Amino acid sequence: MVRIKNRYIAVQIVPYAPVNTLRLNDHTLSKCLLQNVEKYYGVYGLGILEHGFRVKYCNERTKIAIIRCLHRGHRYVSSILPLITLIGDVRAKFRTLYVGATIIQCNKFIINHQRQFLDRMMGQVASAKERQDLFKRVMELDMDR
Amino acid sequence: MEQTNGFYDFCIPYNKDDKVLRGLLNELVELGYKTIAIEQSFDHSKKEPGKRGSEMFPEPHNIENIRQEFANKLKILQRITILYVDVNVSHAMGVSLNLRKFNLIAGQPKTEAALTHCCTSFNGDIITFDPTAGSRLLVQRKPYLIAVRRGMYFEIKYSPAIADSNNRKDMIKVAQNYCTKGKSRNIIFSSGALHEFQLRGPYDVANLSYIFGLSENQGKNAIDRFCRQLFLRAESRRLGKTIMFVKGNGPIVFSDSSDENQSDHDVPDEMDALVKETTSEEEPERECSQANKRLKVA
Amino acid sequence: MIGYHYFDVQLKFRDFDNVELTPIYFRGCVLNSLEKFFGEIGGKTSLDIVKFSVEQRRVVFRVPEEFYKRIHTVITLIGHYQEVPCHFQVLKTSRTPLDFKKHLIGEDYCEED
Repeated sequence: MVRIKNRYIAVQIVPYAPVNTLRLNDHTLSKCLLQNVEKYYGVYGLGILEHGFRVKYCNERTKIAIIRCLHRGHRYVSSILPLITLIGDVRAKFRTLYVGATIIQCNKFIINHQRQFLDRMMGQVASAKERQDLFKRVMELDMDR
Repeated sequence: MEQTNGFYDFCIPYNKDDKVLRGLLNELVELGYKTIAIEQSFDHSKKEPGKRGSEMFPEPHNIENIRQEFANKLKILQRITILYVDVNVSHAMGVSLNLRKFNLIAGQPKTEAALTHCCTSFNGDIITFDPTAGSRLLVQRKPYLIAVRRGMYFEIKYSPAIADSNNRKDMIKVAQNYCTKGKSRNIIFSSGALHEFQLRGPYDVANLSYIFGLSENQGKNAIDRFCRQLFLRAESRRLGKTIMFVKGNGPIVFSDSSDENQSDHDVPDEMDALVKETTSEEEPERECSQANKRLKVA
Repeated sequence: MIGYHYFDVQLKFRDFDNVELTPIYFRGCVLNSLEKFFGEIGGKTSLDIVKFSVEQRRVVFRVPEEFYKRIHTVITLIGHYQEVPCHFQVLKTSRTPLDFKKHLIGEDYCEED
């Protein structure tokens, strides 16, 4: 049994102006990434990357996405992430959280990451109602795809 | 044993215009190619399915005069590329006599099913793809490995990448897919050049392995050694099972002198390959498939 | 010190009369297609033309060593120069400076190492 090696890159999208939700789905995100790969690495980079490239998960509210690509091409993606300033029509930047070899590891990391974020934020919120809201919002991770 | 020399270019599309063809061949000679194949394309799917049993495949073009002209410079083979969508083609190929007149048979499947069939049971030598159609058809791992085991070769034509830069991405994708699925085994490069400015020198072509995901050695072999193996395989298919007599001329001398060994070295190798292919290629597989069928029935 | 790789290239054109062959244009053509093929990051390099001869249609240039493969690929893939079909044939590549010498095609290619 030979496994095809993939890399899963977990990224957080940080918009310049704070917004609650990004108008963003898998499709626009992957289009944006591929366009940038073509810009920086040309036809060659695109040809290597495109096969096997997919945005596996993209959450508008937590602003976290998981990108899958082949092991051979993952550097083409990870190296241009810092250079992107415009995603779709939102001015935003990518923050690479984690690069893993399986989606489960990525998932674990994201849950941990969100929990830490929650711990920090909980102290600043007063009412219990808001607290619950925040909890819901941050830990919303449905890995259905 | 037919002697062929490197470098090889197994895809020169036939051109009615004699001048263009001559220009191509002259350029090939100048670039250092020694063995080439003139390609003839045939679309099987367009034929009406009505008449069975009759000859479907065209006669090879008459290129005797060109062959004579380039007699000591180029070895010219003939190749047919069959475009097809369904598996009926194998029946037509079985009864065809014209096919035997071609040195090489290439298949260009148009659908996923045809591609799988092409890899697993197509009675040809080369599997090629249409670079202008995009990268819809990507070979799966299983069929690819079967094709490699059967000794078929996958062809990558480079001239579409030269003529039109829009094709390049898809070609890289297809080629890289071969690399992902099976480490780019059994790949050959050929030109597919329509005019002489689309031809490139052998070393330049070998260097294209850099973008197609082959190693340097594979790149060099893709225009030289693999093509030779391919040619031998094709010959063995054409001849079928053959009986060979080896007759000694004069007394047999076992000697250690190196020059004699060298000169004789090529021949047994090739013969081995031939014999192996004729005997081992066909039978176990047929048995295998039959066994499978039986299993299924049971 | 940066290592350079030298290329000796023969330029062939279908109709030479419609082509304006100058070092600048040639350099632009190569760099353009390099950038198109390998993008902004992978396709930016310096290309120094060492010798250029319009009569012989030959050019010797050098590129940094790490771009050797890419340049070779790109030179191979160039199919048009100013809309005219062309063929840039790499006669010789080397790490040491090249010059126009008496050189027969196909005689002494250097093996890339």
